[in-house]
Amino acid sequence: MVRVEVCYFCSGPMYPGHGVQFVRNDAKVFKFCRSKCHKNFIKKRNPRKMKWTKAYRKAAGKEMTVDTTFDFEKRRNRPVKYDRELMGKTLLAMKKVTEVQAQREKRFFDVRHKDKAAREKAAIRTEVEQNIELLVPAAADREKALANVKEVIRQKESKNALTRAKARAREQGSMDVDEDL
Amino acid sequence: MGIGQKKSKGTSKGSKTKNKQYKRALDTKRRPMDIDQVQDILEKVAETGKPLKFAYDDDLPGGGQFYCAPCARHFTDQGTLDTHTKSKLHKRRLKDVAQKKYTQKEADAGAGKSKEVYAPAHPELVAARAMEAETIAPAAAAADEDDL
Repeated sequence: MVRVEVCYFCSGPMYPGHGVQFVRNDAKVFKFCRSKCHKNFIKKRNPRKMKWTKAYRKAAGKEMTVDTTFDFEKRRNRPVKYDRELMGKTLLAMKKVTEVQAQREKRFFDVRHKDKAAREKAAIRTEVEQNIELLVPAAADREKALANVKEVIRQKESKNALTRAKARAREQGSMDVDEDL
Repeated sequence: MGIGQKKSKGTSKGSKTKNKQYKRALDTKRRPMDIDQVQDILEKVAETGKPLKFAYDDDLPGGGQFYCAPCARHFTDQGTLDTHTKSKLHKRRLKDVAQKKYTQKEADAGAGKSKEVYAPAHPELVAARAMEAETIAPAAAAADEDDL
């Protein structure tokens, strides 16, 4: 029977006529969608550790793992008698489920990226603080240079806070003012 | 290379690298065990509580008497086995083996697919079998009393 298989390594779809099968000497069958996946398997790499696989993305919390929309696509070993009406309904449901899933995935992505800018900023700041002598090589006193940088940051922040407060006062009730640090 | 076999040149399908180590790693002819196979074996060992034992075999290094189960390797004597267990390679392998087993199920889950789990067709039979297993196992005797 023709069916769309799932790649062992990257979880990608394998359409008929694509990919290879690897049969291990204990008769276990592994299916790979392309030579990239096959080669990585031969090299004994762990799919959970390769960043481009679905297994990695799910294990690292990059993608939604628990959701009711995943309960629909299942292999069922239960015979169902053909029914034209049921078939039509199923096709409609498939479309709807895919839409809902896409929406939820987008929401998951948005939540994950919510305070990305703030986090990146903080990371850059710590990097600057740790390697201040690279930026200011002439500075004999590391502490002094660092204090200067911190002072500049403080000033800038207080200025930012001021402008923000002003903006807030201007448009009262608006809640989406970004609170970075 | 046996009689009648010819070393293929140019048209060979395999890796054409001169680095033998790399070539060997990509060879599926004498492929060492995969991590999930090792995990299966170790699980079985933990279940039965019996350590792995091999009958004396002249073809294996050390007659097959000095085996490192996580690395799936035979050693020539106890000394080399001991040095191996202290090595970085072995310790790294232990970490790999301790991880969750990767199966096709996880790959399917990655694609948002799964298999339907059915309720047992004959639940009374399953329950009876479980009861039997409990009464047979001596360790489960105490737990059995608690249940009753």
